[in-house]
Amino acid sequence: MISTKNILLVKDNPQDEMLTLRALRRANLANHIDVVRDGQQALDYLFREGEFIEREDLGLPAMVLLDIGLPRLSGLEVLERLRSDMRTKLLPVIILTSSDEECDRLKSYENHANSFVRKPVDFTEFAESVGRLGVYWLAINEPPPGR
Amino acid sequence: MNARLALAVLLPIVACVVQWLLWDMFKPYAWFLFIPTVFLSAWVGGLVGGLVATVICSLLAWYIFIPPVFSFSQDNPASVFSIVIFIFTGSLFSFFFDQLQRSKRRANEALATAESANEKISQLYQKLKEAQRLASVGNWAWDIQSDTHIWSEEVYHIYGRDPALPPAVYPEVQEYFTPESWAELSAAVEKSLSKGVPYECDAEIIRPSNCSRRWIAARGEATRDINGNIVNLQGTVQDITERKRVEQALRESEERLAVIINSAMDGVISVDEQQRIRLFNPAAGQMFGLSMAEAIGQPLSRLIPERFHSAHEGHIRNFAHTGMTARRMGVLGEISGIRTNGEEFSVEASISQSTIAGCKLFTVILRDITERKQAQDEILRLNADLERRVIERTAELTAANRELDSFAYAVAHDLRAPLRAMSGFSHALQEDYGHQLQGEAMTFLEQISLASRKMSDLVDGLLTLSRSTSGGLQYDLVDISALSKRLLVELAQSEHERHVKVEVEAGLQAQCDARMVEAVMRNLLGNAWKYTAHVAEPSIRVYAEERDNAHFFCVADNGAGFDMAHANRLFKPFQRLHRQDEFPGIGIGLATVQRIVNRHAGAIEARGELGKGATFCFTLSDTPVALAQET
Repeated sequence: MISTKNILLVKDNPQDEMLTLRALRRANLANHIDVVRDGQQALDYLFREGEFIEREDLGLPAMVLLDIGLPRLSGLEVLERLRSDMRTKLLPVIILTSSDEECDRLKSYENHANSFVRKPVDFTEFAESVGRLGVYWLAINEPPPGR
Repeated sequence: MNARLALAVLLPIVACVVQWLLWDMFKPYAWFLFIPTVFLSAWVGGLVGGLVATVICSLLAWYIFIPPVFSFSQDNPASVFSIVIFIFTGSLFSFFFDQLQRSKRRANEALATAESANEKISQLYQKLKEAQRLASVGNWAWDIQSDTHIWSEEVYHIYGRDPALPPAVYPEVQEYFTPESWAELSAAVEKSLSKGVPYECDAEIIRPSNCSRRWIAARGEATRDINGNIVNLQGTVQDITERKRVEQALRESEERLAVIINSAMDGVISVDEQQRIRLFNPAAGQMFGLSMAEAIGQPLSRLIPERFHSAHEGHIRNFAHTGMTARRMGVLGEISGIRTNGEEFSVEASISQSTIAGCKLFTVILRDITERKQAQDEILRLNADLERRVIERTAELTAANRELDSFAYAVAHDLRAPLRAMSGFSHALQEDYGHQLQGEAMTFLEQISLASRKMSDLVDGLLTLSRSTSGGLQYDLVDISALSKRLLVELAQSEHERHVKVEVEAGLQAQCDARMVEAVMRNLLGNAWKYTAHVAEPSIRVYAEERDNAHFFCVADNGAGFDMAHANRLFKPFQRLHRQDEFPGIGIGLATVQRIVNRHAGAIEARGELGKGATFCFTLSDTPVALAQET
């Protein structure tokens, strides 16, 4: 069964955002996609704090596509916070980044990222990767049991 | 002696017989043959023989030849008188010859005694000569009245004068002496001649034979007659050249020693057992601000700050008991001296002990190390400064490196996003509005995509290059044969259609960083793969080479090769020897390879020929190069 829950995209580059959204759309995913632009916003969104205190409680998103290079809090810091919080400990988080630094990959996995995907520069490849990601996490993968 | 006696007795009998036979001739001289017989007997038989012959002759003459013959009766007074006279004469002969013989014997004895005495004298003379030769002492005498000189042989020898010549007389003997010595010696001799005082002086002579110079000790004394007049001068000369030479050497040695001590830069101070200063050289004087005259006899404690007094005395006492001849002082701590103006200064000292003429002497050699200590302090300060600066620089370098890393990171991350946007939006344009585009518009869009992909490759290459020089190296034993095979399989899988003959030598291994060396092999094999693309029968070979005392790993291909004239550009980043349309690439692979090899303290070299392939050989050292980045 395909999850109908939201997808949270954390990305500070609007062009990347547009292309990611386009790729997801082209993969025929109907899920609503929320976009936040920095690490702090991501945490606020997920914990419904700060500017998102008024946000309707629709439960956690089906997955978070998290970039690493983000203003304020980096993606890795966000991941660390999410994993140290009981509410988001099991939330599927996919690191989607341009970085191919080993240390980033290592830290991501150490902080229990569910997946680490390097964004290819070539759009065709990129679109394919993002589309597969969406399909995998929303349709193939079984999410952790919700509480 | 009995034979003589028998002859003395026999002679009278023979005479008696002869006279009896010739009696007619001799008659009436009864004593005619007896008188010479008695004489002969006395000569031959001495006193006893003479007397016995006298008695026998007188009796024979009396009985046989003096009338009345054959009778001893006698009444002729003349005959009696002749008998008496004969006996008297015979006795006289006997006594005379006896005396003569005695005298002769005595004379012989005296002669013998004289001869043995002569012998002894001659022996003594030889001994004296020998003794004089051994002692190099000769004696001489000068009889002033007769002006005769006597020299012993050794005097000749000492002066080097021909022994066949007579002794040199005074004052002609002057020719043997140096003028200075003669002045001194002649004055002494004259004084002795006039006042009778003995003299003794050393003089230098020059042997005329070979002009060699000798030193003699000349001694002399005068003898007076009973009237007190000086009649004789005698004395000795002794060759003391050797002694003089030793004395001279000793004096020179002492002078040298004195010069050394006096000119030494270090202070030299000797103290006796009572710690009184016995020797104090100028350097010590300068050090302590004390003249030698002031220092000699002073207690050593005057030169030492008061608080060290007891400790110092203890040290010297201990040292005296060690039996060591020398040692460094200050082993137990720093030593200080005090100048007369009260200023204290640091010294370095060594002490030695010696016993001279039964007295113990401690000699201390001192060096004022105030300046050295200042220099040392300065060095320490500079060192600390240097260390601090090194730490600062290291920190700066580390920071700079970190900055560079984050820069590379940013490049990786941030350069890719616009590239992706270019690629993505041109693609979107193509997809969404492709049907509206005409002419070359589609080609242009493709070019944008191509350019962004190319740029992406460049970014990747730059990152690899930057990573090849940062981060620590992890040394492991790497199986280069296996690694090469794996990489070649990967290459083969990426291009199924190509058939490349590969050959990998078994057992190649090295101590190195596995991932770095994988990057090296990936680049080299990737190049080999790429540049053999247009060859009919491509082949790639991986093997080891031993030469120049080094172990080389080599990757050889039979591809496009390169012109050795441009070999120096091979390893420079972004430098390429082939056009993009021949062989695409960004020109960063070999630069990365060289950096990694360099970090392994190795070397890389390339051999090639245009159209005939290329060979790249590199070495790896077991010990990596220390890099500032690896902090």
